[in-house]
Amino acid sequence: MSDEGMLSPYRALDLTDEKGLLCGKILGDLGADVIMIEHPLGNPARRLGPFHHDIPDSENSLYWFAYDTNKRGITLDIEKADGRKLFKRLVERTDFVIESFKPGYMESLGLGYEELEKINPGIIMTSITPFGPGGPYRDYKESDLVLMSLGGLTYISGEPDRPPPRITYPQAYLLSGAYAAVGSMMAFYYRGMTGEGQYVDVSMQECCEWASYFTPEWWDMAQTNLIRAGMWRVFGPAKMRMVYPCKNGYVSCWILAGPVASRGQKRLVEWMNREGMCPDWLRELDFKAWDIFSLGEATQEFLDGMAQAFTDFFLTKTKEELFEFARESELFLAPMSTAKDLFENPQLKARDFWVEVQHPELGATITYPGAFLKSTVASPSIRRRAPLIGEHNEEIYIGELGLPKETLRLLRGAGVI
Amino acid sequence: MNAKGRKVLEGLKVVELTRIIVGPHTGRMLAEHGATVVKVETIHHPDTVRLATPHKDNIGGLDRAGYFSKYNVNKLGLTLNMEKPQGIEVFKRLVQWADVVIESNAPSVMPKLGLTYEELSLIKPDIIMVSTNQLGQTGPWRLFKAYGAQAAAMAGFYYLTGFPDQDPPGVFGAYTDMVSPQWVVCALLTALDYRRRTGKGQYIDHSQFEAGVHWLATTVLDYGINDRVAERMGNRDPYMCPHGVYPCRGEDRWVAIAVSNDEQWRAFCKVIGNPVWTREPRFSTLLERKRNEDELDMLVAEWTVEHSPQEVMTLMQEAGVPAGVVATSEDLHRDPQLKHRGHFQVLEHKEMGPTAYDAPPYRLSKTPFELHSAAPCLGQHNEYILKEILGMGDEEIADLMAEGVFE
Repeated sequence: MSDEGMLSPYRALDLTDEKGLLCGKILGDLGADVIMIEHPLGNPARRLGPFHHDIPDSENSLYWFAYDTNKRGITLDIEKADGRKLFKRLVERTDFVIESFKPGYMESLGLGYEELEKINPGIIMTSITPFGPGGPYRDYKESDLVLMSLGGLTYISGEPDRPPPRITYPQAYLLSGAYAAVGSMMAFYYRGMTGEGQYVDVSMQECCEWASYFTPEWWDMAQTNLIRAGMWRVFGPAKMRMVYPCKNGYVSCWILAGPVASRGQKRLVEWMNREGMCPDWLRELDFKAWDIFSLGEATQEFLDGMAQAFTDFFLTKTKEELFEFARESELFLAPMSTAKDLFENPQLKARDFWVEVQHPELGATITYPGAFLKSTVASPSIRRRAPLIGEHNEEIYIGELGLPKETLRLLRGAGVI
Repeated sequence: MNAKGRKVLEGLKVVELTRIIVGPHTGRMLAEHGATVVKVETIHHPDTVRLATPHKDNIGGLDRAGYFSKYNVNKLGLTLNMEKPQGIEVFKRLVQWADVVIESNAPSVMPKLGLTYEELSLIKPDIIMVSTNQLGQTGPWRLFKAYGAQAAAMAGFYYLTGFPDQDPPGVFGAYTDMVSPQWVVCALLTALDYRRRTGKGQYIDHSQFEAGVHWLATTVLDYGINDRVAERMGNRDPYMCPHGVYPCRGEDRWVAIAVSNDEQWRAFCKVIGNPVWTREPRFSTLLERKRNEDELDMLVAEWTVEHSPQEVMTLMQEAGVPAGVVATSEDLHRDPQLKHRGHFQVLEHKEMGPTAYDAPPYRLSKTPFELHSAAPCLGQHNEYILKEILGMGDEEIADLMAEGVFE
């Protein structure tokens, strides 16, 4: 297994803000040399909390820490003539350019794909925009909630008697970054065979739409809107409870038909019985007789009764007890983890999932999620923490581009760098 | 070489032994750009999603499931009985043909079938194989059987969805399935490039639970550093106000509005007609609005409820305020921007007739994707695969068929 990632021969220039940071992180974690190019005043994503020790400083954003691992950082104002010139020099020796400015912005600066291709025919330029470079919504304003809603996942979430909620931790930007990485790598593979780069256009709305499961299929196939059912999962004519409170939190538990599920469910019922918490009719149920996913002939009343019996029982047990039972008994039950549970999770620990990353500027070592998968050649890894503002200006501008120190000072004073 | 007509993954050969979403979506992303993807199934234990609703015209059938259809467009379908040793042999012949193997079974399955990476790389030394499942190939919980919903609950998404004053309803479905395939495809493309340069294959072990944790990375850092456990906030946002999902005219119709600065607040007020309440001091700054957010949300709702979601979105967006229809299934198909993108492409399915398939959310300028064939019916391409890909003769096929190998 190599220390150097598989993408180590390659470089990316990352001009994204929070809308696209994950793209460069994925490339960087796979080994690419990713250079985050920020405005001299810092990337707007640095304003996003939470913050290290709750101190809201632009070097303390945990969102920045999480999604800028493996990136070096330089400052550059590409709106300035000298800035654009330096950018073009960097483009000469890069493989990817990733940006999330509004449609047309890079072109307006003479830095659109057509221009960059002239400088470097192999360049892969990925543009992440809320709705794409054209169309009726081209200039529409975005936010996580707006994109997730237009994508369809919001409508199918939550309890029917409340407004549909989003996932509290924003997902739209991460979905966009992840699909942007796929598009970039697709173009990269093509370039590997042909030497030709190309332009990758990522629509954040379409990325969010892909997170809405078979929402569109319900309409296309059955002229029906998929609707939210909260804790209840709709299976054909009946609905079955899927989320249960327990002694110290919540668990997700799927009660299903079929031979696989029936074993675990039977054992659950036996456990309930041993503790004197099982109604007779539940003890006598033949789970195997149900049609998978359609729950056979069970009435809603019957399923409600079952859900109540499980709820009463689960409230006497912790997440950990229930999950241990689930693992031993093949029950489809899992704890609904909090951040604390994740941190303490034995499976993640056993998989060496966590990595300790040095933050000398904070005098701290911070525990991060590590490799996002394992490869026998070279797993993704965290080689460096997210950059400070302009941290690698000297390394890149002087060390690589050969700018004299005085020039760097001048450009810094003039707000170019 | 005709760059325009060329597909990125033309000539790439993929074998899938996958179910439900993550494995199939991974294969689908390769198939979108020209890979030949053989999906191996069996009639004895069909993919669960072939049994799930929606069914075309609400008529059930293994070849009428939208859930299956979505993730298996462009693929060739083979039915193969892997309980039979001859079935395993046929699978191994496919591996010999293939560049990539994708499997998404429980970790006990491939070893039981004699099809681990170690065994397959004896057949094809440079094979690239990916195993993706809930919890990964190793670790004390690896054999726990779970659906994506359990992985999503374990990864923390369930706890973080819903309103603080009620039990968390859970995220719809298996959210980790929505955030896993992207990483796998990136790794596969990286592995393919690595093989192009070095001639070496590899094995990739992907855990959907671990993928999920990455999507909540900030909350984990927040706990580790600040001892804070992230809680669900409904549709509130730490920095924006008003921010939420508001009721509209019509049955269960909603619109999302996210006012993110003073300029947008002023524009918002103008759109709703500058009612007197918007000039009250308790709504005059972001901090004040945050303090009075409950009341503010009620007042906003009083306005939105008089309008359709489309009206609210259009009026707000024209004024520069982020707003979006909370789209239903129907809304997605009528969305003018998705239409502009050509997002839904209709293909003729053998059993279901015209069927709409989502386009990928990214577009390559020189080598566009192509959705060319509807999802396969069970065993639809058996003959083609056995004869054209594996070069089997009629007699051999007939013999094996008689033994129940192609079921």
